[in-house]
Amino acid sequence: MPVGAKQAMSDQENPKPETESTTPTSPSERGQRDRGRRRHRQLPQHLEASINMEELRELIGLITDNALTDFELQREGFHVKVGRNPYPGRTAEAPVLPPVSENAMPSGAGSSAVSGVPMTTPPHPGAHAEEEASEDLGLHIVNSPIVGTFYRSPSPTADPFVRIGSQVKKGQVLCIIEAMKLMNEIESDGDGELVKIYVENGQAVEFGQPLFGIRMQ
Amino acid sequence: MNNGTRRFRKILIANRGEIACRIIWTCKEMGIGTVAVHSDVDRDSLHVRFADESVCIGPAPSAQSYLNIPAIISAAEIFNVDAIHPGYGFLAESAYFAEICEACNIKFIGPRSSVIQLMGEKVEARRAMQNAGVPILPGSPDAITSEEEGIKLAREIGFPVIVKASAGGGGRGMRVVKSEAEVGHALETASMEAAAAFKSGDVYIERFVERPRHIEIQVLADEHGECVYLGERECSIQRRHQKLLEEAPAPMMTPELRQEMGEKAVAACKSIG
Repeated sequence: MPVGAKQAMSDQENPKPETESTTPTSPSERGQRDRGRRRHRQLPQHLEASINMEELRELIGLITDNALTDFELQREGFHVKVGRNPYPGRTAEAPVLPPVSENAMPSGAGSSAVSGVPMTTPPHPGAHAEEEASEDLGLHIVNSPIVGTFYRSPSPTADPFVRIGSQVKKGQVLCIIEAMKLMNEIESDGDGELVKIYVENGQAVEFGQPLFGIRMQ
Repeated sequence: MNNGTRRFRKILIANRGEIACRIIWTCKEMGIGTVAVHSDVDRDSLHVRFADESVCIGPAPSAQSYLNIPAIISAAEIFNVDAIHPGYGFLAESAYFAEICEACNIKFIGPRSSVIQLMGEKVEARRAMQNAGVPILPGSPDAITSEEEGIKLAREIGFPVIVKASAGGGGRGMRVVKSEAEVGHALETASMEAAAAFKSGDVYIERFVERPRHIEIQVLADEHGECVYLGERECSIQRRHQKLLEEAPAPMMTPELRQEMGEKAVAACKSIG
């Protein structure tokens, strides 16, 4: 159980009046605390509020429904970071929930604090498809039929088979996947414009992994 | 190049379910990295979650995933593993898979492919065991080549006899023969079934035991020639030749018999390498 949740329970056992909360309220106290951290305050301080478990669950629901991979929210008094592994098959981690620091707070302020905040998705090196999943609706995805290493060109010095924007035809070679020293040519199974490339040159790919997105014509 | 005395850094488990989990847990205890393989529908399996790394190797049908040798070897190479543990079932008794691992310089955690080959061919296995001093049932020394030969042998052994596929397993390719008249037909049908299921129509004859106890002795051997026996399992409770329940230790087993069987088993294993 995250450390934050334990704090919450002890707060409920010993409810403190609002003014005596553990977060600093005077400007000097806040300044002192903020100096130690990189902070960007987005909303006025009276909306300093944390988030209770119900809202956290809702937040996570929003994140998964919209297929986001990373979400980070910093507010007065708490910091939420939720990460989702976009690559099935890369590692075997379940979604990670780091500790949420939580103070007793009125539920009214809590719900408005969550809804108004913009969501940030920091760039994830090597992560691809799921971050922009909503943009991929309607694209025909070419998946890897085998396990191996993905190469964009027939040889290290040659040009790539295709680029973003290339018009591709059914049967056209899009890439090579090397498996057991054999170079397997992967063909397009449709006609259209190549709009997405989901993997990097030299990257290991598994069966079923998305490689290209084609806008069919 | 893997030095024989250095421990594996990372192994790939070519299996799923409880055996894959057990292997992964043992590797964790030993500080060995683990790679799990899975079909696309097994993505959320326990063994996938426990392993350090995992990779999807094919669609749901086993033949295209857990039995897909190129996919497994490719996965082993891109994850840079030292060895593959096949578990039981699937490719664990495949001499061909063991041979490919050897060729690709990946250690196969199991017997050498030549040993798997030998013991997988029942006629050869019987001969090897006999040479090692293991008592075997009276039976034909080689595959049966004609009905006359079959009848002659059956008379010598004494009815009832059983016709068995040399390359067989899993309860298939067997016919019990109670009288001379049935021999020809049994030879033919068993051979056809064997050819279809195991790609070899070779059959042999041995005495049929009406109510046997099926006892297996567990042996453990390493590549340096050391071998021990670890006790037995009683696998007599079967339905249609499939084991339903295994008991260990076997009821009715005595310490003397266990020792005798165990020592014979170890001697036999050492003799075949």
